[in-house]
Amino acid sequence: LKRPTVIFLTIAVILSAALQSLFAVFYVRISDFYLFSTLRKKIEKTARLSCGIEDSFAGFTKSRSIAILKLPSCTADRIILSGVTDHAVIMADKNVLVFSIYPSDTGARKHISFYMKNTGAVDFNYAGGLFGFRCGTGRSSYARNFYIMQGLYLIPPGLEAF
Amino acid sequence: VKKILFCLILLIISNNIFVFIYGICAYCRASDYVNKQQENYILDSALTLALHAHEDNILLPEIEKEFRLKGIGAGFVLKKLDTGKIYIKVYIKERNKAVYREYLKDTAVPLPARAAPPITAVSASAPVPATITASALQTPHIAASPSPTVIAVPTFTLLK
Repeated sequence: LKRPTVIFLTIAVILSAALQSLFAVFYVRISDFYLFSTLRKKIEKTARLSCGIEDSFAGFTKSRSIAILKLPSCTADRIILSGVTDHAVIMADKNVLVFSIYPSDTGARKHISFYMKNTGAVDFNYAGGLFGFRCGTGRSSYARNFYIMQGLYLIPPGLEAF
Repeated sequence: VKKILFCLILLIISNNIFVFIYGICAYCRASDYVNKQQENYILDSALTLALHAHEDNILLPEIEKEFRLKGIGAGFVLKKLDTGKIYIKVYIKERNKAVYREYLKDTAVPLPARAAPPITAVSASAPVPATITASALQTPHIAASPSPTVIAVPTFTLLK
């Protein structure tokens, strides 16, 4: 091989390796963020529909790992039933987040339950009228807070809460 | 040797192309996320403005207002329903799609009325308070208001 070719190839390989390691670093960071973003979508949708936080429900007790949100019940036509509430329970346990809906007898929502794996450590906070959650995967931690106040209900675009 | 080098260069080139395409996809996804968050903040702001407008004009049966936030047109419509509840629609004016949210405000819990300031006779010799405490400046109807909603706090924090 000629000398210029060797120099060119060496520079190309070093440059490429440097850029791709940079890409790997950003990829790891952005994957954490995408995880948080996915969780945020689920939790935010429920929090926006919510009209209050329950201290305990069906054997669950509000804590840093369990959030119990009250959702106003609605009919299939999205008409809110006054004074009737469904319950959404979000439970964090060892990198698994479990979402469950417990509908009222009169509402049109169905019972649904599903879980997400590899969520990192998730914990909830309830300070000062806020409901929030924090999601951490060891490298970084993201948080989001919501006001949940009583007296005003978001008319749900659909029946699903998550 | 030349074949090996050729394969190595081909690998590097194809890998770099993949990284480039992935970067564009990641950028598009992040851009969607930012747009969605911006929509959320504008709608939340519109809702807050609607509620304040209602508190300030509690007797009006209908309030409608449009405004611009960061160059984006938004607005709200607030109507009193026959059932006694209040219907609030907040929206963003976009060319391609309708972005809006609808709320029902329960008025079963009445807002505390704003108390009129007491009219008292002040004598010329009455002492003038030297300082006004912060609590005296607070409007009680706001502090005690059971007001509405689920409003996302416009903070997005990255905790180290």
